[in-house]
Amino acid sequence: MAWKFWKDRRGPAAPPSPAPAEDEEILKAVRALQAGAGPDAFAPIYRRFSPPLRRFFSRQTVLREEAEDLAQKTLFQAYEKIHQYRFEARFQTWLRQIGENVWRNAVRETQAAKRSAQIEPLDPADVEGRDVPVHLADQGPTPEQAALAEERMKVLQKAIEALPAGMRRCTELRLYQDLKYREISDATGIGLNSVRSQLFEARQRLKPVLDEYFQGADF
Amino acid sequence: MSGQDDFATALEAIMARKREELGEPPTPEELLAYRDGRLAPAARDLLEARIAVHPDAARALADLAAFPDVEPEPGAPDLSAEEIDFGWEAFRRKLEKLPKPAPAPTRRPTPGSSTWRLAAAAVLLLTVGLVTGYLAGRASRSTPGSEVKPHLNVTIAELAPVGDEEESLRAPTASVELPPESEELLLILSLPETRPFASYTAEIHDREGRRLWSGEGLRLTPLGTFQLSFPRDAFAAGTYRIDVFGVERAGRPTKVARYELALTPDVE
Repeated sequence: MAWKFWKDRRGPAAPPSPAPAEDEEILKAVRALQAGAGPDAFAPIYRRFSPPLRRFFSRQTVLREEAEDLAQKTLFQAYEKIHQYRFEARFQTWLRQIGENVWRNAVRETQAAKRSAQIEPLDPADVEGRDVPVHLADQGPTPEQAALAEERMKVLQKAIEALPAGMRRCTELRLYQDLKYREISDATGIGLNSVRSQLFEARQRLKPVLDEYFQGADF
Repeated sequence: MSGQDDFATALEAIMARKREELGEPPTPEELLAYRDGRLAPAARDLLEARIAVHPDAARALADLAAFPDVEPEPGAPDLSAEEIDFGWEAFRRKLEKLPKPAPAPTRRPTPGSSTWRLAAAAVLLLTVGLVTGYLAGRASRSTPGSEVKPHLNVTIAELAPVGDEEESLRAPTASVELPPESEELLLILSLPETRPFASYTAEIHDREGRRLWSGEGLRLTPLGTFQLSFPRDAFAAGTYRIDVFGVERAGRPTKVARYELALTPDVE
């Protein structure tokens, strides 16, 4: 129920805003297609939604290379199912559901392919006439540096984990994934202003650790 | 190394350690269940921890919530207007090769709509009732003592096909309440547009997938529907799945539609 809980905390829902002009164009296209218009009627839908679909898929690391194909697949399915759209939800929500299915299947297929791929260990005996480096000069940190880094990491982790749950969640998304405030709000369902204030408070609480161990680093 | 670099390194190390501890990235199913509030508290807390250390997971949630206002990836060029035009032309050529999308059953009161279908079914039933009554009268005159009871109170339910592959696009299960006085259940199955078959078969399965009934030789009505009629006590309350298959003269049956029906408890 986390999602709903956070949504509720956003306060009463704002009155619905009038549909943007482009939505009207999209709905007009849908009506035309449902009335039997040819593929040309699909153009506004393609132009409006192809870029965000491509962006969505390309930001998923495992799907990056097939982002264009997956965006097209989503639109293709939307075209084929256009008569199933009943105007009960926003068209973009309906299309997003199709995209979510394409996403689910694509991730499943990619993972299955990965599992079935056999990676043979490299046997130096198989590499004829080539020098296989068997040892690289150790350029890592000294034991003292490594111990200091380990200590810094533990102190920071402890400080983050000591934050209250909601604040910690926003902080982790900000720190570990470098998400923007808006993105944190979208990912968690926490209102944008709340995200701002949670991160402000988190900075205050983490400041002593950041000052002492990270020369006043900020996030 | 600056303090900011040390900070970034420490964060990387924390993430790496947590990823190892928490395991695989969340699947899309898990993320969608989380988004829709379908997880138990313990599972939700664990998933939140996994989301925090797997960048694609939080990104996907954020992008889906913002859709279609998905921001381009920093540093990655977005499509120009020319590229979108070019993409559309290629896409349109693919669409032209497709048959026109299958029309859904319309809800407007036009011939073929549910209202008309129900009315036609009612007329059909009335006719059947009258003919049955007439025959029953004749039969009772010719064979004293025999009794034919026409089903006068019939519950009619029109079912639309549900998709069976993409769960979030599925039509809702049709809920049918049989009043106590109802003697018969008449199901009118509207068929999606499909190529014609020589004949059709239907199967009814219960929730556990057990086949309860099957029938062959179904014929489409002039309105493009199938009609299945059952006595009211043929099925207990519960959820049922109805599959309709098209049958070629020689060949394997092809599934053409699936329906779901929930009979409410007072059926028994």
